[in-house]
Amino acid sequence: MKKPVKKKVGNSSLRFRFRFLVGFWLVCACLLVYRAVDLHVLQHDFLARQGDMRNLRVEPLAAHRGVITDRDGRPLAVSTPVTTLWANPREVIDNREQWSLLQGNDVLDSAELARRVMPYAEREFIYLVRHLAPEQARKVLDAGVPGIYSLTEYRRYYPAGEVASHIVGFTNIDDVGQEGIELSMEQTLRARTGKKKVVRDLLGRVIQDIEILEPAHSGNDVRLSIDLRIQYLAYRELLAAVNRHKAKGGSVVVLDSRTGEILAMVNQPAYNPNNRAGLAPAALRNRAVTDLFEPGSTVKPLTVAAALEANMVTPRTAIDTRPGSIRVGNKTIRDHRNYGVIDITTVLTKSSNVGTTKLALSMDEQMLPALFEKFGFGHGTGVVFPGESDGMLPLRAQWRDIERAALSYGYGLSVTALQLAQAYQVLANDGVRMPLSMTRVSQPAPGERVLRTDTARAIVGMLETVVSTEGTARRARVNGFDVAGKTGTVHKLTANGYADDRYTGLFAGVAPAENPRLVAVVVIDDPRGEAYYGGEVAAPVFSRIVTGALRAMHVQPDKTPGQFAGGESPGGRT
Amino acid sequence: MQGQPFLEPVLVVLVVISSLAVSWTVHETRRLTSQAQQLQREQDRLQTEWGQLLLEHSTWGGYARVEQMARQQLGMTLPKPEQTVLVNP
Repeated sequence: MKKPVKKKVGNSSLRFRFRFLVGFWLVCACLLVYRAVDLHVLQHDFLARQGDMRNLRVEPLAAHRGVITDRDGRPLAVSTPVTTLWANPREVIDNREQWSLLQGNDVLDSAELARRVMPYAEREFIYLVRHLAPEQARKVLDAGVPGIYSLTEYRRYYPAGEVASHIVGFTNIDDVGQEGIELSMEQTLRARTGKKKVVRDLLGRVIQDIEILEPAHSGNDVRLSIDLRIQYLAYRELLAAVNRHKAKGGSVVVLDSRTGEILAMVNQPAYNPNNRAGLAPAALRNRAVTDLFEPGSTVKPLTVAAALEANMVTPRTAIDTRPGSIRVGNKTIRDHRNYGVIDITTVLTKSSNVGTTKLALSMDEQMLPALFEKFGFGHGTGVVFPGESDGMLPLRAQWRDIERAALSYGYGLSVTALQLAQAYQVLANDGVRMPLSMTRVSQPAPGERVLRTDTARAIVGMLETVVSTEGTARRARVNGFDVAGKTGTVHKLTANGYADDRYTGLFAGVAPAENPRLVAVVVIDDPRGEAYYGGEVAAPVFSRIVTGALRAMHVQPDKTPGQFAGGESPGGRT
Repeated sequence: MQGQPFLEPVLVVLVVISSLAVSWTVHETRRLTSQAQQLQREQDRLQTEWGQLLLEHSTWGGYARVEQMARQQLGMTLPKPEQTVLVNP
């Protein structure tokens, strides 16, 4: 009997122990579940944030501004990384005892640090030194003063310096374009820095890339139409001419006559974009596109082109310029001297005002202004350049005779050097006007026909005589090539009307005359030396630039006094 | 369950393998990330150096400097027209 009783007691005790244990573990499990719910659901956001704060970091993704190069890829503007040191003044001041680490540092001395930080004790960010070479910044950072941090920025360098300063322009300290191509192509060149989220471990190493918050976009490179060799030549020759003739300024524009690309564009005075301290605002102007002048005799070929186009005359038609002056309204228009009865070609050779006046007065009064407009006068050239001037071409319903006469020899309208070059590009390119371009053109856009092919060729042929020994521009001649062009000497317009003793010397030309490749315009503003005629001050510049440019472009000389290889070569040269 | 007596151990083995794979991938991720970081730094350094060399190159090779050296140190001049020989291909 005992056994069952014992068993019964044992059973109830076992059952109690079983229930107790089940209950205990259930409570434990509930506690665990509660804790799990607490951590994973109730406190999840808080804890996740705390965890992320300890090891998740947002890092900047660096991106650099696009490179500007010339047509062959030579660098004109390059960004290189530099280090900017910044400080959290509160943190720096809290760790005052560690400043001695910078004692005698040649980049940032402890005394200098105190001077920079103390006035901004309440701030959390100040720049200490901007744009340091990375190795210099290292010297400061290695000292390990708490509260000093670094930031990677980019500084722009301009290897070509003054030579391309007006075209390329420059950026400010925050890498935003301020002038020139840097400004006008800001959208293309600009870099957008990105952000990414990373996980760092205890030692600060990045162990996992989580996501890219904002992708970094480096700026796109820009390839200009400029040929740096020609640009340098133009810069050197213009500088020499401006100094020699004590001129106030000057511009040169060189175009590729077939594609409308701008191969060189220089101005004086220029500036050094790498060091702009003490920069005179006047030197910033890209005079070739901003400054207007009256083109004077350089438009006479266009007047003659209008007459040829209307089949009024041929290059051989005689015109009576006696007695060397003509009365229009109440004004007298004069030539240098009495040229007598001359043909149309000679009107250009000698630059006869009377000749062009007679031509202009015998054509329809709207014809000449309409043609000038088709040559691009009075309109922007379409080149993206800040501050480009449209020029001024009066378009009237009624023209007085004196206005028509003045227009025929280039007064009463104003143009930029670039517009004048564009007009000569039409002559050089068989009468087809190409859109001008600052950037390299691989597939030339279709041009717009302004003149008949035979008219354009006839004008270029006539302009060859200007550069001959009888013409006004003997000094524009180029060894080995026939060139064509026209001089201009314009009285400068001042507040009191035309100044008697202040001039702009001009030369606009095309080379080689046979099969034109280049158009060049030289403007010498206000030469104060002995010489001031366009043929004396501007034509020699044209000659030197074109000589070098044709060689640089490997254009074969069409007439050479030298020998041809394979022929008879005296002196043993082959 | 009765019809597939091997399923359970197979699944257990698979779970073990996949958990090992997870820790291996995590390790590999960290290793590769740190390698990528290192390469990124190297790229930055080379980019900096390239920019500096480019500038140095264009400073030494500037047309003004080359011309000056050619004329002054080497005594070079442009050939006169009568000295030129035109080679026709």
